[in-house]
Amino acid sequence: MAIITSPNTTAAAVLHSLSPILLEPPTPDFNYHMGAAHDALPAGDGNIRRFVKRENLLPTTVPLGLTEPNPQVQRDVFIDAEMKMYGTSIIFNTQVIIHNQQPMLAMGMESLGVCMRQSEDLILRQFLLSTTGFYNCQNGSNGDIPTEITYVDASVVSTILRTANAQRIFAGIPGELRIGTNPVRESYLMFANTLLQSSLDTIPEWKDALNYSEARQAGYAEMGSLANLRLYGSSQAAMINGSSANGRDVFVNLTTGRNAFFQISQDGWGMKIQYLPPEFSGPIGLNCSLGLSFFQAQAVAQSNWLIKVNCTSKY
Amino acid sequence: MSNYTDSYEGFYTATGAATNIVLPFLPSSVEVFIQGSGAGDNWNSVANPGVVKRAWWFNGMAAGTALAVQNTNGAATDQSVFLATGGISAVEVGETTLGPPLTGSGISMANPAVVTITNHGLSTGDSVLLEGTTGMLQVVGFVFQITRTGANTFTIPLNTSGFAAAATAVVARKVIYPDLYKPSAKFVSAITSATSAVVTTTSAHNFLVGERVRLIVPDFFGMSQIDGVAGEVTAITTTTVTLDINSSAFTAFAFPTSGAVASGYTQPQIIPDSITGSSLWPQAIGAAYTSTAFRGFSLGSAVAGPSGALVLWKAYKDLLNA
Repeated sequence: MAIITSPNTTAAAVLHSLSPILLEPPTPDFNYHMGAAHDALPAGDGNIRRFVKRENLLPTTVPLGLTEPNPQVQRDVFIDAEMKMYGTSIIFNTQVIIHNQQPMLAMGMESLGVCMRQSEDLILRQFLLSTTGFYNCQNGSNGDIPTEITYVDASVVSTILRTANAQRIFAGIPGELRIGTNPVRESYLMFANTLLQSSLDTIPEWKDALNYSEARQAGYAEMGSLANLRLYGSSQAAMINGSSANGRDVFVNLTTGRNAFFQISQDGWGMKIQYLPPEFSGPIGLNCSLGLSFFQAQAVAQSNWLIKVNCTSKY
Repeated sequence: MSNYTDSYEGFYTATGAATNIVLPFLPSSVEVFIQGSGAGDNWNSVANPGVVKRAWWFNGMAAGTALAVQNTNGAATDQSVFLATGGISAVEVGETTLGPPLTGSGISMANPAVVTITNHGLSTGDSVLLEGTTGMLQVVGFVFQITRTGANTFTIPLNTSGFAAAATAVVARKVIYPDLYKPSAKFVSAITSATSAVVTTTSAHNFLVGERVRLIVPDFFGMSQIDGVAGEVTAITTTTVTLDINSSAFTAFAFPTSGAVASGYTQPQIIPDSITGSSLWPQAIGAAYTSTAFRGFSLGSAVAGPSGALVLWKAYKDLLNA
């Protein structure tokens, strides 16, 4: 019979019990695709999607006389977008799969799905960062270039878009007799970084989504509204670290009207899931793979209907 | 999964600047042979002493490093060296990022303006964002494509000789992979008052003749009449775009004073609008919105070869360890 002489160094028996609750990986809100108009390139139609835009004719405001006036020239402008293919995959060793196939494949599929949704959003984000113009907030008080966002800046941006005849994305929400709530204006959509929240909370005119007269009309990721802008927040909204005049992080809040930019998919492809069973992987069928691929192109349809609104935080 | 290694090779004539090589995969190892001229002068210690002749990089090594062989200075003897910077990196680039802040002592009043930053490590053709200046606030927030003039200095394509005072401090950050989509927005440093306005950009643009662009020019920069106006590109150089916009009667374009922009401003920009204003069905596919994001590897300034050198590269992908 063994005698335990030093009980303090003897490990207790450890039993493992895997919880059926699958822990959520931290996943940001994917907002950029929400502001895009959507289109699909038909199968077999090449790799360039072309849009045509008619320019307005000059209004005819002078009464006709006895002779016909000269006809106007109808001008068209074209916008092209080139389709690209994206994709990734994961490999499972057969020794894992054979023991526990369905949960492993389901978990792998879920991860790939999130990865792809995040990818399409990041592609749109980088595209819009590269191709659109910007406005630096300049009415704040933090002494930086750009300053923090203010009500006046939001109003200026709304005015720029409205003057360019950009259509608002959201209809207004009329006021109701509920204490602490406010009506919401017709609004453009701003993609804001969640780190802006503390600056927004200091703006007197800031309206949190919970204070909308009809709070249920707020979107899932909606932070609130400022002037004619409704802000949707995400931790992966564009931000450039330490790039202000004084070295603060600059938040690049893309603000858009309706149909200002397009996200184009490949018709008949979508997001394709591909499962390759082990028997196709090699002579002894050691691995199986799960892949996901998609096509995407993007285009700015109206270059003056979207603006990057650059700002820093107040503190 | 039918083979265990993918390999690609190719060659190019070096420009003296860092180079990106696009591959269909992310390499696990890279090797480079730098020949020099057709006579192989890079392998001749008399012609090119101290220049890297061969370099290697493989998975596990830090990005931007390399194992290299170079001639000993002034002797025809090979020397093995480890390059801590300016070497080789496997890159998968989908987003533009900024390099670390480089703090310097100022920007001169000159044409072109000279930026002084000790050991800046930048190369000609690099794009840098300027921030953190003391004085000369009207250049803050611009991205300029630089010309290296020394280990501690580079110039930016801007005439600052008429500014009121030099900047006595500056922070520059390299913009890494600035053009991942084309056509893309650019900063504007000048616009002529002419029947066909000529716009000068602060870095090489990627607009094409026949394309339509739009200008954003805040009041601070004069020429506010051209703000929001779109025009067709009729001629280009590397950093200029001629437009079918008659700006001859517009207020002159001019940089504001540092004091005028101290409380904030927006820089002038030129942005893509559409590929053409022609009523014909255009064939300018080159102007389509296109992703130029890539994977492959980059050769830093120490291993990309001296200007004119013929460089052979080989890249491998080890599927077993992918």
